[in-house]
Amino acid sequence: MRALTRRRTINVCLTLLVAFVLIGAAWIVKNTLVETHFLTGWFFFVTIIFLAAYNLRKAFPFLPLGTSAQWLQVHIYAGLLSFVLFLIHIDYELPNGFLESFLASVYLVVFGSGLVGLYMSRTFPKRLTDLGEEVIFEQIPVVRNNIQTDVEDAILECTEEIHNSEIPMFYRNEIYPFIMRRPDRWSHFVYGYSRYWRPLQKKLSDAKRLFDEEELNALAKVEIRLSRKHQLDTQETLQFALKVWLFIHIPATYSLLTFTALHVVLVQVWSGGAL
Amino acid sequence: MSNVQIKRPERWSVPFSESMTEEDVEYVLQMPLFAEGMIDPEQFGKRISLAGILKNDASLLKCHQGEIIVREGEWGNSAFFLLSGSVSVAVQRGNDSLPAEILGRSNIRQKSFIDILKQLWNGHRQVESRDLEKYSAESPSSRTTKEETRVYLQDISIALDLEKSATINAVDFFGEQSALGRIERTATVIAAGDCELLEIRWQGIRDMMSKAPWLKLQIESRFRMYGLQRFLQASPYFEHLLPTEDRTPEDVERRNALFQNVLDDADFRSYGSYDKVEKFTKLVESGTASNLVHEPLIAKEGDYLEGVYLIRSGVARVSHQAGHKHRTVSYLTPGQAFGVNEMIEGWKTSRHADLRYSLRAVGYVNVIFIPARNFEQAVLNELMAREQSHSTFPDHLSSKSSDEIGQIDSGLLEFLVERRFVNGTATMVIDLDRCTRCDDCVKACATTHDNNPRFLRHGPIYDKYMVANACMHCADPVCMIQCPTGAIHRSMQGGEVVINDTTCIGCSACANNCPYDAIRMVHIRDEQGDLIFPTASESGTSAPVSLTPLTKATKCDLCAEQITGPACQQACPHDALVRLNLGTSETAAEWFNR
Repeated sequence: MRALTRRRTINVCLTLLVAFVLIGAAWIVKNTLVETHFLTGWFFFVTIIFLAAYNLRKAFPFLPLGTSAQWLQVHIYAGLLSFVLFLIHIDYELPNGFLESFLASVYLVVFGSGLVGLYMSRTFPKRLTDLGEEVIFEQIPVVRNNIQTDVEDAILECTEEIHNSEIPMFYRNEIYPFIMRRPDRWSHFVYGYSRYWRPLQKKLSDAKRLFDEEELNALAKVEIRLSRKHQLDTQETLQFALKVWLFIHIPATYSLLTFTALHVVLVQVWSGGAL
Repeated sequence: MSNVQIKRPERWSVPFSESMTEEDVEYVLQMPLFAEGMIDPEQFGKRISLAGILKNDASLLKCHQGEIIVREGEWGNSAFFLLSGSVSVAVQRGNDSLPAEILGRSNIRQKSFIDILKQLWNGHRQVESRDLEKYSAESPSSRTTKEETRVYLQDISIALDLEKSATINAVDFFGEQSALGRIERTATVIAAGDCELLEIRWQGIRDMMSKAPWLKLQIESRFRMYGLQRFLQASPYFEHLLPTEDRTPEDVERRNALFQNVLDDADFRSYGSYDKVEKFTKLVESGTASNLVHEPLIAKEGDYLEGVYLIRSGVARVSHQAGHKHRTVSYLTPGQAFGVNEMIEGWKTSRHADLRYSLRAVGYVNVIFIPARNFEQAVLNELMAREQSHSTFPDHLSSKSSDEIGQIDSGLLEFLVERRFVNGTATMVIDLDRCTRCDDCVKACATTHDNNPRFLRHGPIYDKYMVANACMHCADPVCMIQCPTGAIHRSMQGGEVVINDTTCIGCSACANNCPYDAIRMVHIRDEQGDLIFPTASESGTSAPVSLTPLTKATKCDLCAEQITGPACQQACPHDALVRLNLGTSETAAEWFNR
């Protein structure tokens, strides 16, 4: 078994084991008529603090606190276990208080965004690799501008060299809107291509019947650049998604921590005889 | 078609030193080394005359007391003939050697926990900002002439423990082992008083050796006495011949005799272009890299096996004929051997064995050739009992078999060898199928280097692997050749190739020599972000003497000062980035196949 597969197998088995132990222990304690909410609540709170500490650790790469990869492994599986703790804590029922419902919603946003992030970070890199030539995210607009300039130059050259060419008109009506269009992010995100790409390809294919050999040569050059622009849009979308999910996950985590702290204070103050 | 014509470049188109004049050549030829017949000018032909060699391959140096001539651990491509005066050689190695600061190097000290915490608030806000005070701190004085910068020790008797140093007097020579073998200098040499030296680049020594039997004999006997003996003693193939306490005197004597036979018959061979850093990326892009025509053949598949080849320095490609071309099956790094398996097979079956693979020099390679007869007597007869049919040769000494070689995907292997990444001891490899492009590695690098990242997350890609543009800390660091101050050096602590920012004069020699473009020259700034210009230090004025800002060479230092090791690898959340020692293909294969 390969090292990474072995690691995943061991971690999943351990997580399942701990989850069953937690569920079993909570069930036993509950059946002895002991109040479990405080215990599971504190467990849950500490877990959330630990999970949030990963972001803090990232800020100090020079501290001997273990590698980021080790932290992420613990973060992932502790995050999954936190959902088990959450379910136990809420008694497998939807909370009915305002603050509790809000807290539960925020937690689900954090947990859900974490799952989405995990899925993306495990699948999108492969999609990006499959796209071929890699461009650093920050440089994509520059490369896209260069492509646009190249296309314009090719069209201008064509206009100068070929008398009465139909290409400039075709460029204005079909190619220019595609070149200037912002990336069709949702389509790229879900399907891996823009919904405007196939229609453009069809128009290019249809138009070829109207062009002579010289024009076809010019168009072939443009087509290569259009394909590159489309590929660049996919790259930008995937890289953007890989970056942006953290802008949901991390602020939601800090909101969760803040409101959980408030929840703890309120519960401790108004717990009465329950403690 | 245009018909541009240029003069064909010749052997001496670019002389070693522009300052070597005809008068200097005449003067040198009057010195005892040449006048008394040790090196006879008459033996040299007209095309490559001795005067021509001296004019074009040599440089006349006049050194003063305390001047550092060569430093232990640095790479050099020249030898020195001492014409007059004497030099001191610091013969100690390792910790007993001269302090790093004296040699113009940085004394790398791992940061304490407090120092590490201080990085949180001590980082400079400006790009490539430097603390100017460190440049005025005491350091070896240097003098820059038109051609070069030389470093002096202020007081040689304090710096060098004279009891633990050797003296070389005129007429003698030193530095030839390192120049011809392309290995690091083994000692620091300092001018003991005013002296004259003739520095000759390796091509000149090579030509002189071919015409001057005295010189050839001297160099070969020194090589057998020191270089070859040290190399073979360190080789696992011959360690059983070294004397140990549990052996009888007769046994020790017998083994010594076997070892001496190997020493006497071993042949030293060099392949490939010594000083030409091939732009192999161009070869790859032009598609000619796979032809292997630019890689000199060391041993050819199918040829009769005449002996075993031990790699002394450089990297060699093991390939197998496949169709009209060759498929790379492995590569060999210093200390590894070629032809051992065939030798064992032939020895067991008492039949002659042919080579199963070809061996080629990737860049410049030094090989020690051990004739079959010597290898059989000294290694096979000693380690295996012929009469026992089940007797096996120790696994760790066998050449890599084709099955083991298959551990790394063949295409990936071609990629790593073709682009010479196998030269790296800490090559940054990124698994793009796992890398989320989060740039945590770049951020961590910047955090640990005063907010200046020391690598680019960009580079050649094969399949899902990217070799990023970061210093690989080569086994054969050509960047060190020609550094005038020794600022770029291998750290004595961890072996990393590092640059001492204080003694770097910004000449760009290292950046130009690095074939991987892993060294960047940067303009340095002060705390306010203003560019720094050189001032006329002798005149004491603060007015800039040049409109060109000061530059410094920068590159990855493998976080030698950090207790956590390379921050890039530490910071990668997805186990996508690794610093791999590609010199050991087994370790590399383990990571690639994880």
